[in-house]
Amino acid sequence: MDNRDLELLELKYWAGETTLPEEEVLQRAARAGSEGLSADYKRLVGLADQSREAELDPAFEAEFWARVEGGKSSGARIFTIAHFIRYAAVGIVLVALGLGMWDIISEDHLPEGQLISAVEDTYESPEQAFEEAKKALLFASQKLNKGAAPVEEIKRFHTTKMSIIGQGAENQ
Amino acid sequence: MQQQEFSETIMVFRHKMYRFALGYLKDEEDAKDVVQDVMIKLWETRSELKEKLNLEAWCMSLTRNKALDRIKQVGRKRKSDLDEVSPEVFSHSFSPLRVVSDLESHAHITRFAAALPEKQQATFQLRDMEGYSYLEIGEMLNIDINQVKVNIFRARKAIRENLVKLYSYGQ
Repeated sequence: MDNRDLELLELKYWAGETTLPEEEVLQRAARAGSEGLSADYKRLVGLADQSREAELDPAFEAEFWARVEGGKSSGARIFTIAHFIRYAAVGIVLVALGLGMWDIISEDHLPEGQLISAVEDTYESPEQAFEEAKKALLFASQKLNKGAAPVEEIKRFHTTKMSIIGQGAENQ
Repeated sequence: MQQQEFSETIMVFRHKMYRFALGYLKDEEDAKDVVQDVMIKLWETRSELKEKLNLEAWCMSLTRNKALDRIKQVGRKRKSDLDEVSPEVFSHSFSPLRVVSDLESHAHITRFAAALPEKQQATFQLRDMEGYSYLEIGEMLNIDINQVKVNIFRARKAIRENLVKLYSYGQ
């Protein structure tokens, strides 16, 4: 590949359009010190080569296994927030289920008298019940619309006020 | 998964994970701690690893998350000063003048890369330093391939503009 081709390929590189094989061609040319490539690109390849030399020390793997083994023998277990949330969620579900079951069981075992009273009639005869219901409805109807008069008063006051303000605005 | 299988399928990525973490943290000890934490997590969840389609991408993705957590925890200001570049660079150079020149230009590029938005920095490092494909980078960063391309383009453009500015007008 001549210098002109390399120049064009480098332009493609900076535009983010090169493929991996094309980038390998460019890198090889940069390492060979090709004059078709810019100093900036050569610097970049130099940095990439240098950074690839950074490695963990050879003892890393042995240290890691020692740590894993150490954790195993002491029985230590890492308890993360994720674990806590998982256990808490299970706990909440169990408590909710328990309460639900308890509610159902306790309803099933209500004393007989208590259960009957809930469905029992309040009055001896239908006539008496009718009279009582009539009285209750009459009382409720008397109490209805009691607040209407003050509201009407306020409404009238508001209408008057607005008409005065309207007249004032027209005058300005 | 037993120790041997773990060593053969996971532990082989440790150096790449270390360099990736180092790119974020700029501190060798922190980067090593991150890799160790990630390895422990992988070991603890080894029964689920068989379900992963691309183990390397999974390892790099965990490394990135852990490194970002570490940055948040420590509140570390990313270091990128000239004096923090490893003195090992001297052994690969030819003359004192060249040494200084390489050292400075590498430090500048490192500084420019560190100043990029996180995704651009990560894509630049994974592509231009480690040589991953766009597809692999997308898996590692959990973004689609078009976003990878856009990030690479922007990162290279920013670095180039900074280099041009620096070497055109002097330091």
